[in-house]
Amino acid sequence: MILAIETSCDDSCAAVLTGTGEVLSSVVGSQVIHDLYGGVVPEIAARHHLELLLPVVERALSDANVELEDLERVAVTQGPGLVGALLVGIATAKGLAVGLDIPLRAVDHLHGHVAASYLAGVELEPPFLCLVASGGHTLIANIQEPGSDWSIVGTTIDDAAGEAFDKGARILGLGYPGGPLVEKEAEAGDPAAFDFPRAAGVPGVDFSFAGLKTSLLYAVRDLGEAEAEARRADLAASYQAAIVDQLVERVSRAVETTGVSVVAFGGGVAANSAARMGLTEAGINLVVPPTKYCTDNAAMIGRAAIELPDLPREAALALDAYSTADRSAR
Amino acid sequence: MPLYARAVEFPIDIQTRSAQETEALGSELAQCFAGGNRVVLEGDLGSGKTVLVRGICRGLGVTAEVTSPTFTLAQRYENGRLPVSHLDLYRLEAGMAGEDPGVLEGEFSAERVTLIEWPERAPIGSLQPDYRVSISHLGGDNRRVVVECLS
Repeated sequence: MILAIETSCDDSCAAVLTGTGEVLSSVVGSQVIHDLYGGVVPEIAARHHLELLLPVVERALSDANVELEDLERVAVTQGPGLVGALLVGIATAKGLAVGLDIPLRAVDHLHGHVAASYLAGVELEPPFLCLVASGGHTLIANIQEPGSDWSIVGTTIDDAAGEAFDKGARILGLGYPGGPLVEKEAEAGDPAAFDFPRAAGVPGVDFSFAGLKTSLLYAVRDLGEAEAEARRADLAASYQAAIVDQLVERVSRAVETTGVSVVAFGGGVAANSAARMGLTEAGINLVVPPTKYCTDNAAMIGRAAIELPDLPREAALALDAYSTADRSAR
Repeated sequence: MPLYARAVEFPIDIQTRSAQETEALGSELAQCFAGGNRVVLEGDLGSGKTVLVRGICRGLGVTAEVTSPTFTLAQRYENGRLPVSHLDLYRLEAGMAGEDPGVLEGEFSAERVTLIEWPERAPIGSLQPDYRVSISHLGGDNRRVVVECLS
C-alpha cells in the first residue's frame, strides 16, 4: 500500500494505491474545502496546501478504507513546481515516513503525467510517446522501457498550451478557466477565419505559443471592440485550431523521428475534444486517461513511484524540492 | 556598444525592433544586477516580459530553458552567476486570489535576483523593487523598453 502526495501547483492532492499500482483513492484539495469551510468556500483557501493537505490525506485514506498503519511507503512530488508549495508536500511525506518508519520515494511531476498513461484502462506497454499539455507544461516524452527510463524529446520554449488557452480566453473576454470556455465559444466559429501562427520557425518537436498569443491580441485590437465581440466565435475557433495544429504537427513529427506510433495524451489540455480529435484524425494511435488523471492528481504520482526505488533513509530526510525541469540533465 | 561597457545611466529608454533585440537588451541589463535585487516588469499581455526575462537569465549565465512561470507562479534558475527567481503573479487575480504569502518567501532571499511580472498583484505588501522595467507595444514587433533604477 502506497500513499502519494502532490503539491506542485494549485491543488493539494493525495492518493492511495496498491503495490501493483491499482488506485484505491485519489483526492484533490477542492473536494475537502467544503468539509473544512462548511459550504461557503473562501477564495483564500484555494492554494493553502498547509491547511488542506492533512485533511486531503485523511480523506484519501478513508476513501481507500486504509489505516495509516497499513501503509508500506510514501511517495511525493519533488518538482518541478512552486518550491514553497512542493516543500509542504515533502515535509508532510517525510513526517509520515519517519513517524510510520516506512520508506519514501521521490517522484518527478512530469514522470507522474507520463505514468498517468497506465491509468487509462487499456493495455499499454513501452515503447510509447506521451504528450503532456497542461497550464504549466507542454512536452513530448519518449518512454522506451518499462520503469523510469523516459526522456523528453520536445518541450515548449515559452508558454504552455494550457496557458495559451487561458490567456487567449482572457484576451477574448471569456473568463477563467480558459480551455473549456474557448472550446465552447469555438463550436460556433470558423477555424479558418483567421490565420494565426503555428510556430513554423521553431524547429524539431519543440513548441512555442507566445507569438500566437500576441497575434490574437493584435487581431482583437485591429478589429476594434465591437467587431471583435461580433466575431468572437471565429477568433476562438481559429485560435484553438492554431494550438491544436501545433500539437498535432509536433506529435506527428515525433512519431516520424522516433518510429514510435502509440501516443498517450495527458495534462489538462487532454480534456479538449478538438485536440483529441485533431490527433486522432492525423492517424495517431491515441491513448487518453480519464480527465481526473490528466489534470494534477496524486494517483499518477503513486503510479510513477511504483517504478522507482526507495530512497535511502538519509537521502529521504535530506530531500529537497526543485523548481524547473532540466532537459539537459535527463 | 553593450550597456555594461560604460557607466549605465538610468533611466534607460530604448526601442527594440524584434524579440531577439529585446532578449539581447535583457542580457545586457543583467550585468547591472546584484544578489538581492528585485526587478519588477510591467507591460501588457504579449508585450515581451518573458522574452526580456530570458535575456536577463542568459546574461546571468543561466543555460536552462526559460519558460513562462504563469502557472507555477515562480521558477528558479540555480546554475547561473547568481541564482534567479522568475515570478509571474498574473494568476493571483480572479479565481486564484488565495495564494499563501509564505509560499513565495523563499523567492526573495538575499543572494537571489528576483524578477517579478505583474507585481501589482503581489500578495506580500510592498515589494520594494530596485529596478522597474516597463515594456509597451509600438506595433508589430517593435517595443519601447524603459528601465528605472529605484534604489
